[in-house]
Amino acid sequence: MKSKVLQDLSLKGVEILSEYEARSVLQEYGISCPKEVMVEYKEGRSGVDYLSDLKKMAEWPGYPTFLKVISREIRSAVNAGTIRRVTSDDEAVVAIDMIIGNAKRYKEGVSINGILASQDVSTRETREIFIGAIADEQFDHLISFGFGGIYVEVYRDVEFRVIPIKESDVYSMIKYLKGKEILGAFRDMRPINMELLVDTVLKVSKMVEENPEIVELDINPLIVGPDRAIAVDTLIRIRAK
Amino acid sequence: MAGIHEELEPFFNPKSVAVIGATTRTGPGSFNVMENMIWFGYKGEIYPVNPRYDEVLGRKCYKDVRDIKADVDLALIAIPRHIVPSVVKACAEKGIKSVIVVSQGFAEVGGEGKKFQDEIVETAKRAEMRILGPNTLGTHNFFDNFTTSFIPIEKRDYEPIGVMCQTGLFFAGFPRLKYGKIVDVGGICDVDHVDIIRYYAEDPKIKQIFVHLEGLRPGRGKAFLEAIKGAKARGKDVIVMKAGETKAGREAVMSHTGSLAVEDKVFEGVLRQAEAQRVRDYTELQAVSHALLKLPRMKGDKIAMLTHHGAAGVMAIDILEEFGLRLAELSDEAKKAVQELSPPWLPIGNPVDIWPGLMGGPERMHRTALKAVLDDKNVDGVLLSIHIADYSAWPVGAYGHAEAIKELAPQYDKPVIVVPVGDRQEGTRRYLENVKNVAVLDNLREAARAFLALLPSA
Repeated sequence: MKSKVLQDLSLKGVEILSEYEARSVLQEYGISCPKEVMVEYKEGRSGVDYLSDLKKMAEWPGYPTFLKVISREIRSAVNAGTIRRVTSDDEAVVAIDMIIGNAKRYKEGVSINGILASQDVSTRETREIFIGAIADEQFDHLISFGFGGIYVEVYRDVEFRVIPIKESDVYSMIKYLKGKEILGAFRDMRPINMELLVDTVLKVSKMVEENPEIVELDINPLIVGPDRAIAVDTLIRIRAK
Repeated sequence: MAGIHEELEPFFNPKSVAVIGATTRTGPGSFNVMENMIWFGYKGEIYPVNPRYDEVLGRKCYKDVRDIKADVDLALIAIPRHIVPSVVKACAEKGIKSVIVVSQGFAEVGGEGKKFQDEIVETAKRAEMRILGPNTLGTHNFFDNFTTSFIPIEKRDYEPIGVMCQTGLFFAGFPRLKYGKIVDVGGICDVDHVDIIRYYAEDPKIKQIFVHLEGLRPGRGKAFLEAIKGAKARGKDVIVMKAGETKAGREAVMSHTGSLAVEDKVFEGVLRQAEAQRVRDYTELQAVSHALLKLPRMKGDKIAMLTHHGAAGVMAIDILEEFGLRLAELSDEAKKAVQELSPPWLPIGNPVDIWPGLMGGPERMHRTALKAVLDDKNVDGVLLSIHIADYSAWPVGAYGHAEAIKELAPQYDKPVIVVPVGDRQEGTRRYLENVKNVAVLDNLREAARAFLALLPSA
C-alpha cells in the first residue's frame, strides 16, 4: 500500500515535505507523533492572537509545548531560532512574537505557513533515538537507526541495513550500538519499551519499501521511553514525479 | 539460461582452452601461462593461438581461434588491448562461451580503453558469452589442476576455500589460507562478485568463501547481499575484506542519514545483515578463516582460560572484554577439581592459574584442569595461554600439556584455542596441527577474534 499523502505531494511536484505533511505520512503507517495544532500565519497578528486561536482548537496539547514557525524555507528550526519550549500562556505569548521575528531575520521576506504548537513528549525517563532512510545506488534503500538528538553526527552511533529489514535485523542493529545500555534500566530510569521501538523501526522500513520515491528521511529525535516511541521531528524528501 | 555453475565452471575447469597470445618464451621470468598450465598438471586440451608461430611448447599453434576444429571451452586472451575486441568477436564466432581477458588498459584508464571494453561487452552480450576481466590473473584451481595465472604457482595442500579478489595478490595464498580455488575478477566488465559468490555457494567442494572487494558494480549491492545470504543458507562461511572508500553513488543530501552513510559504515551494516565475517588485514583473515574451518561453533559467548602465567590472564581479560566476549563463571565441580591439585591458599577463578598446581605434577594438572573446563556447562570455548618449550631437560611428555589437549579436545564439542609462549614452538605446533577442535594461534587478540567468529549468532 502506497502512502496516499506522498502520492499526492509527488504529483504536485513537492520535494521536501513540510513537517505537517511528513507527520501525516508517518501517521498513515501507524507511527506515533506528538499532539499538534497549527494556525495559519497572517501578517500583522500578534502572539496573543495566535495563542488564543491555538488554545481554541480541540487538539491543543497543553503545556509544556513547543511553539514553532512552519516554513518550507527554514531547514533547521533550532539553528534559525524558530522553535521555543514554553510552559505557560505568558511564556507562549512572548515566544510566538520572538520566533516570528527570528524567522524574518533568518531570511528576508521569508514565507511563513503557520504557527505550530507541538506537545513536549519527553520526560525525565525518555531517550532520543534516530531513525533515517536514504536512497542508494548500490542498495536501493538503506535504513539507519541509532542514537539521536543534536549530537547524532558527532557520536555517529548508528547502524545501517538494507531495506526491507526483519525484526531480527533491528535487534542485531541494537546489539552493535555502542550506547545500547542507555536503552535498558539506566540510573533511575526504567528500561524503554523495546517492542515499541523495534516496531517503529520496522514501520519506517515498510514505509520506505512501499514508497521508493523517498530519497531521504530523518526522524530525529524519536522520543522513546518505558511507554512511548514518538516521532518528534521528521524530514522527508521525495523524488518529484 | 544455464545455471551459474554451468556458466562459470569452464573458467575454473575447462575441458579445453585456447591460449590466445601464446608465446614460445619459456623458463624463469617468462611469465608463460601455457607453460604454467602444463607444469601445474592441466589434463585438458590446450590450443595455442598466435599467427607468428607454427608450434608452441610442442603443440600445433593456430593463426586464428576459428581455425581450431575441436570445441573450445575457454579462451584466454593475453594480447595488446587494441586487438582484443576483434579477437573476442572471433571467439564468439567460434562459439566459445567463456573468455578471460588478461590484457590491461580498458575502462579503468578511460578514453579508447573504455571504447574497447564497451565493444567487448556488446559482443559478449550478443553471443551469450561470459567474460572474466579485463586486467585479471584469471583463475587457479587446486582441485582440478587448472590455472590461468602467468605467475607460476606450485602444487600444495589446499582447503575447501573459494577466494575471489580484485587483485592477483591473494593468488600467493597465506600459511593459514590455503585456498582451493581462486579468481581475480579484475576490471569486472561482466563476471562479478555476485556471480562468483553464487558459483562458490553451489560448489560442493567449497565450504568457505573469502571475498576481497574494493567496489561493486553499480546497482549490484542488493544482489551481493542476497548472494551472501544464499551461501550462508547453504551452510558456507563467508569472510569479506572490504578495502578502499569509494564515493557513494547518491544524490546531494540534506539529511543526517545522508551524511552518516559513508561507504564503509554502510558496508559494515550490510555485512552484518548478511552475517558475513568482516576482516581488515591478513592476520585477522587467517585467524578467522582457520577458526571457521577447524573449530566447532560455540553455544554461547563464555570463555574459560587456562594459563601458566597470571600476567597472560590479565592481558586476556582486557582483550576478551574489548571483543565483547565473557569469561565463564566456572561451576563448583570445575573449581573443585582444580582446587584439589592446587595449594589451599590459591583462589580458583577464571582465568585459571594452573601454575601453582603444576608443582605437584604438571602432567596431571594439565589434564585435570582442561577436563574440568571442557566438562563445565558454563564454558563455551577454551583458551590456553601456555608456555611451550619444544626443548627441555625433561623428557618429552613430562609436561603433558600438548598430550592432554590432543587426547581431550576431540572428545568435546567446544573450540580450544592455544596461544603458545616460548621461542621454540614448532614441534608442539606440528603436534597439535591436525587435532580436532584445536587451533594454535599467534596471539590473544587473534584468539579473541576467532572466538567471535564462532559465536552462535555469527
